[in-house]
Amino acid sequence: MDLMKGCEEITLDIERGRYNSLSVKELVEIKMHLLICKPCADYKKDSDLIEQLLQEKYKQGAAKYSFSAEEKEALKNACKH
Amino acid sequence: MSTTNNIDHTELVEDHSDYLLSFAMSKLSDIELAKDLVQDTLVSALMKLDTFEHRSKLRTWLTSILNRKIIDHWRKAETRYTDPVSSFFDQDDDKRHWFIEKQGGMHSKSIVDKISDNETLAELQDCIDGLPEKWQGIISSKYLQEKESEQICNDFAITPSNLWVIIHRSKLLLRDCLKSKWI
Repeated sequence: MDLMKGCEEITLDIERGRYNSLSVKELVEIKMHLLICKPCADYKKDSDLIEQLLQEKYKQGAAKYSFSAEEKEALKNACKH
Repeated sequence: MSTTNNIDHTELVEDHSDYLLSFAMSKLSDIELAKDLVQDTLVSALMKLDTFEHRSKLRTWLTSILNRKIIDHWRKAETRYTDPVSSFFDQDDDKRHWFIEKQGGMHSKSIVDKISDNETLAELQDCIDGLPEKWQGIISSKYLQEKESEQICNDFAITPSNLWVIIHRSKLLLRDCLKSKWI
């Protein structure tokens, strides 16, 4: 019988928990696991950092792309029937 | 004849092509591919213009056609090699704990200070470029467009549990990649 969740499941729950609410049971499981498992505790720290980095990176907004004038003419030609 | 048939190809290209290209590039990293898909989208939109009903805006309709083409592209790309998700999971048991062996986090005192440093963000971009194409699209939908999870699952034709697995795996790969750059 599996009394304890494995590291994979715990770290997956950590990610899910950033955007969805977890049950109290799940939160306790994570807390307990992190107390005894250094790799997962490290994962949590690193994941927090990457989360911050990603948010920082994309704060600047979406890049805009456009077709050149020639490309637009080519597009119009392609659309003609 | 409905009024939709008055829309001609010149107008379609002028008004929507740049928007569609930017949309495609938020999900793809290959500009030539993105341009091809936009062209396909406009051509097929013109062919089935009579099926367009005014229930949605023209741009929304065009975007949904483009989105379908992007998903089709991924489907084709995925059959070429193994599915990126299942290639990490569902394999031999050794792999189930593969990340435990990667002892030690990437933390050092100075790293947190690096966060808004442009160099760090460029390194992050490098690492993101190394992820599978579809994952890059998912990450940009999530962090750049800040879409709801449900919307992302629809756009990318994946289940919610797939989404968490992909985010989780992406983070593990980004972590390894950043670590290799910072040590």
